Amino acid sequence: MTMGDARRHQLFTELFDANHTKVLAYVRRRLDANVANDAVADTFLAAWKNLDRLTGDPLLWLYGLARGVVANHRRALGRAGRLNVRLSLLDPPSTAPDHADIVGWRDPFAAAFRQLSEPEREVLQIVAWEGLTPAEGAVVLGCSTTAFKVRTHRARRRLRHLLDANEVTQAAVTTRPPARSTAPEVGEPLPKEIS
Amino acid sequence: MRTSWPDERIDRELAIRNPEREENLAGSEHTPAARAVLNRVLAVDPLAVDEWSRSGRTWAWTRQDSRRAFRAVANRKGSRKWRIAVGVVAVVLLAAVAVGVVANGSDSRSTTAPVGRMHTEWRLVSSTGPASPFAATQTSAGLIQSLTCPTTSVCYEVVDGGLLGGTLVQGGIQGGIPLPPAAYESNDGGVTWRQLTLPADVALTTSFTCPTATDCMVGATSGPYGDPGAPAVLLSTQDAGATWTATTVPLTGVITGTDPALDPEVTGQPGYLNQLICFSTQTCFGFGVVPTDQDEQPLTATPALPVSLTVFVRTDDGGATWTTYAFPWMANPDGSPGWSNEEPATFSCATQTSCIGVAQVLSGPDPSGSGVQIPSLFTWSTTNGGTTWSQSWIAGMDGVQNGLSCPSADECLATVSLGGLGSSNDRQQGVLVTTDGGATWAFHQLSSGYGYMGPVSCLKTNDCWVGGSGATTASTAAIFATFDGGTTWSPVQLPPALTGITTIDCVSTVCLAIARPSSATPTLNGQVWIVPSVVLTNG
Repeated sequence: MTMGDARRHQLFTELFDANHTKVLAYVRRRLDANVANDAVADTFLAAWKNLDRLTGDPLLWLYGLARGVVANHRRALGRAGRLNVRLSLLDPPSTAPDHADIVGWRDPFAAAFRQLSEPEREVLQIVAWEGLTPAEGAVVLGCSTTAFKVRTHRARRRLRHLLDANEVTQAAVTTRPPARSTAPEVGEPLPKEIS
Repeated sequence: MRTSWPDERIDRELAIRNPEREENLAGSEHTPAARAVLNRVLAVDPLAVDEWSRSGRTWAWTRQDSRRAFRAVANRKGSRKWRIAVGVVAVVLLAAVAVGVVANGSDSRSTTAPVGRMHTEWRLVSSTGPASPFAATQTSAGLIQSLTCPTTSVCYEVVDGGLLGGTLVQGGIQGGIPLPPAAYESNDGGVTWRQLTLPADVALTTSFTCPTATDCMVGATSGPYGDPGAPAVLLSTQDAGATWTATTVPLTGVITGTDPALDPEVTGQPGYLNQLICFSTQTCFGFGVVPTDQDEQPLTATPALPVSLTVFVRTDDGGATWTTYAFPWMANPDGSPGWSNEEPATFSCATQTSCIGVAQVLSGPDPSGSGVQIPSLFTWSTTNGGTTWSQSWIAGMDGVQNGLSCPSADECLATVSLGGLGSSNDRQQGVLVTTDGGATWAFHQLSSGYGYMGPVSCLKTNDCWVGGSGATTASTAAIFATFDGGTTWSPVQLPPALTGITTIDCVSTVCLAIARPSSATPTLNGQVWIVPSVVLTNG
């Protein structure tokens, strides 16, 4: 190992130790726990290979990488999920949905949030869950601060319209949990979408 | 049009649904799994493999990439039209930005910081009179009042049936005949209620458990009310209580061979369900007690009285067949015989595989010198749907458990009173919180000046509501909220002149709670003495 390698290892280890918790939290908010650790590993592997490109706030840079990794995992899960749906049509599961499924499904806020597009959800999640400022969120999404503010405003406006519309019709709705094959996710109050 | 969803409320609702708090993951980088990831990553030669860089482009589309793409478009033939079009789009975008900034405030961070719901106000949704369906006998030792809300608008309630006949004496009833518990349903968020017609000769012994708004189950005994020989049954409805089916639950005495003299009292004697949790119309978990031939310790009667055992039963076919697990009788942590005729235990099952129960067994002298003993708290837990259970002591926590809610397989919050059984001043009111499936528990004490903490309902450990008594007098109703895992608690504003939050249930973002007016006295409803209750909500 050369001196340069040793320095690189040290820098990366410090980066890992300082940001692992936040990256893990970011990923677990968006993916099922079963695949979250793999996604975190992929994120840091990408960081290791691109360490020379690191500029600015390391955490925001890692969030940006994690965002891409999460998208990749969702695509993979989406393919697997569609296959599972087809299989379940051949052999319907006998088990009932988890209690957490039911709780999540009967939540009108979660239902409305689920109707947003993935970019709309992401911008709201970054603000509410990661607690980033518009300037910080813009770095993660790779856009300008102004663009981030506009996206936030539009996402909130669309969610508000959905919630207001749901409130009008909610009284007539009898909430029933979905069958397992159509339940969007397991065990979380908000969906971690498979795109 | 006015909206009930301003930006602040949207952000607040999102924040409380944060599925993973960083504080719950503190120190994650030091876990073996994380170190394995680090070592695996460091073993990769970053310069030898470039597919990561290429694939990285797909997930990190940079501003440089955008400029490059724009230049490519702008340099195409006919680029003047493109430039004009882009200019128009830019003007429109600038206008949208201006509108967005104005509507959003100068800095969205100031309105989007994660906040809890601690400012939510509670209000009275039903203040029914003496003829109220909510009836609770003040003289009843085992006051039953439990609320189950499968949706924000549909709730079911089990209450004491009141006392038939008797005489009003100093606010209580003397000589009345207890009636079996009654059941009520509301489909308008607790504003109005109707009494459900139950099968003849059943007495409810559990709360409702409802996988959907119309599919509900409840535990009961079938036979004359008060008959110790009445077997346990599962009552099921699929039409919101209009019709019912009853199936027998095999809860009968357990012979361990400890004291054969007790066998005649135990053999074939039924137990009863005291908790029921159904995940569907097919799969239900039940918890109950059955008689066993274990002697009560220390012996307080001759011949000895049998100890009751806590048991777990499970059905996956709507009650047609059941599997049973009898929890072993617990000695004290030091091995001495426990002093208990049963093990008061409360269970919560977040999933069909994971349940946690908090129980207590009496041990140790009471420091107040009252002669009674302080219970030791311990947990039962299963991760395989009740096939096997493991027990562990909650070390250093002696007291009684009052309520339990597990919003996930790893997270539970139990309301407890720790310390002596003598004066209430000797006790520490607060909550025990676990985030690792019951392996470890942390105690968070309620601020001094507040009283009892009882029923609890959690949407997540970081979003829990507890009913109890308030700061001014022990009889004043109070509801506490925590949004940080129980570390801090905020009493919420309640309507005045209420006493005793008897039950609370939260679904989605709405909670309902039942309390009684401070001035409530038993009143005759026909020949039945009842006590009115009121319904509160923060929705």
